[in-house]
Amino acid sequence: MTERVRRYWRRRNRHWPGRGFRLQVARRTLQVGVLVLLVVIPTLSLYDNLRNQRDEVGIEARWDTSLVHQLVEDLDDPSRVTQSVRGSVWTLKVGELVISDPLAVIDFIGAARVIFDHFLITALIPVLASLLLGRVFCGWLCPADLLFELGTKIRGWTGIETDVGFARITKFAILALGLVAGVVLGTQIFAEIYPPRIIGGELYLWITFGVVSAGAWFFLALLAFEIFVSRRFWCRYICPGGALYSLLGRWRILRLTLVAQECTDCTRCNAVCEFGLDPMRGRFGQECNNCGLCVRACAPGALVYRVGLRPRDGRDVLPAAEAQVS
Amino acid sequence: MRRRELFAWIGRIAKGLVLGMLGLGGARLFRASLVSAEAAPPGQHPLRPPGALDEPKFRAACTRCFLCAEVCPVRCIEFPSRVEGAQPPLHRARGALPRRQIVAPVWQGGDTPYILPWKTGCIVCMKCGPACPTGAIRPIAENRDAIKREVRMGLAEIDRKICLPWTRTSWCGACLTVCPYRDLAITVDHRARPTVHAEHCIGCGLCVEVCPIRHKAIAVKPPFSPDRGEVRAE
Repeated sequence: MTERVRRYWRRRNRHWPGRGFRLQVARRTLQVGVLVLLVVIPTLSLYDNLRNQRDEVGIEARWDTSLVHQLVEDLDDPSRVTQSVRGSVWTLKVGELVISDPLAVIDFIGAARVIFDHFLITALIPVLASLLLGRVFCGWLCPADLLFELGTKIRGWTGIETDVGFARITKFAILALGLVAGVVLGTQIFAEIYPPRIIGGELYLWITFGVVSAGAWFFLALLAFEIFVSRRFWCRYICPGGALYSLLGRWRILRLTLVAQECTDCTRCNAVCEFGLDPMRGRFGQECNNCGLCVRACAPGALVYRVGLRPRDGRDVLPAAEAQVS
Repeated sequence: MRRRELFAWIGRIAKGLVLGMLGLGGARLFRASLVSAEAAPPGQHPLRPPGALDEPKFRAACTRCFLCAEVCPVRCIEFPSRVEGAQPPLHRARGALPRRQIVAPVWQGGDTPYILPWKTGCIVCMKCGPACPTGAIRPIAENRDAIKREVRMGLAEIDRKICLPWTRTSWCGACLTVCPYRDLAITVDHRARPTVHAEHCIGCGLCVEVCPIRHKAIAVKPPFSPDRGEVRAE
């Protein structure tokens, strides 16, 4: 990047509220895209079934009025397109590439008590991404996070102030307990309580079979609890996946950092932080998901992304001179 | 009428419409979730997909990704949270208890794939095996001999008390016609009375699907059933 462009960006970014806005647009686009994908994939699967019925049995269902059919009917081989992507955020299959949630792999190892290498390597990409970028799945991809943030918005509109806090260590305890329970019961516990999997699974069931299972009611109850009782209760205190990503992202390379000299102590960043962290003092800890809400909120531009190692005391604070370099 | 009142009325009507639609939608969703408790004909069992591991191992290994159902071309793989055995009014003597739950609840491995053969049988296309990321469903070659050697979803049993040819009611032969191992797994004698041969039957459940008797004269007993324990020794 040339010096001129850099100066232009710095000038644009320094003035609130432009700073970090594009980052939020990108984040929301990605989250909504994931949610749309969770609807599109079962629809494609259903369309494949209808096509198959027509080709094999000759049943002309309502399939030729479907939107998918309008889109793919002129292609040479529609099934190559419609069968190219399958699954959900729990286990996604794009062509031959399979990507699994690391929690699914951990859960599988706990319950099945075997290490199945074909399944193990499917978690490689998320694990590497978490090691480098931190708890980035939570903030940028998780469909539940989008709905929970909507819950936070509703809290703001309705003016609900109740916020019951728990100990953050609870989620690590639940991660360990769930593993033990999985070993004892011989079934995968996290799959039943992990909101991203629940959303993907229930959307699939609803679109394909027209029914939902207990998971949908569990998630709705959770959302109501977040709105009326405790803000971001699940992600902060309970989520086993969040705990796993926190552990993986402890030594992340991409770190939000406070430039101490520019901070005016306005506490705006602490107010917007979805996980209730302390960006104003640089205490992002292992739980920061690099969502950039605090960057957006910071008027003087004291919060910046930095590529570097974890500071020894765990406080990401820089003097201004070093911040200029990054 | 004043303009403000008019707006208030329009607002009220719109609110009523929106709330009513939400309520109806919610009620429909709720009813749909209850309907998933469906009734099975007496003596019927839910089956696991072809090539699945033994039941306890399968429950431990299944990661509930629903990929097997997404690739199933006939959509026979379902995720019933519970299936209840129906009360057989005419066959009380067969020992089926009323409203017997025959699919495990969520905390014991619900949300795992089942095939309900009285609704849709498995066409043994073997697409679910390669789709399974955890190997809970083993990939088996789509080959007639390999399938017959490897796949044991269950064993079909004919109830001679209600089967049409066996009761001399009429000719039938539906199960014979649809069986993928016709004249091996199911044979008929000179009176069209079907017989199942255990060494060839893979338990796909197509015969159950086509059986014209309402209470199904043929049933597939899985090797391991949640309610009965070991049904068939391997």
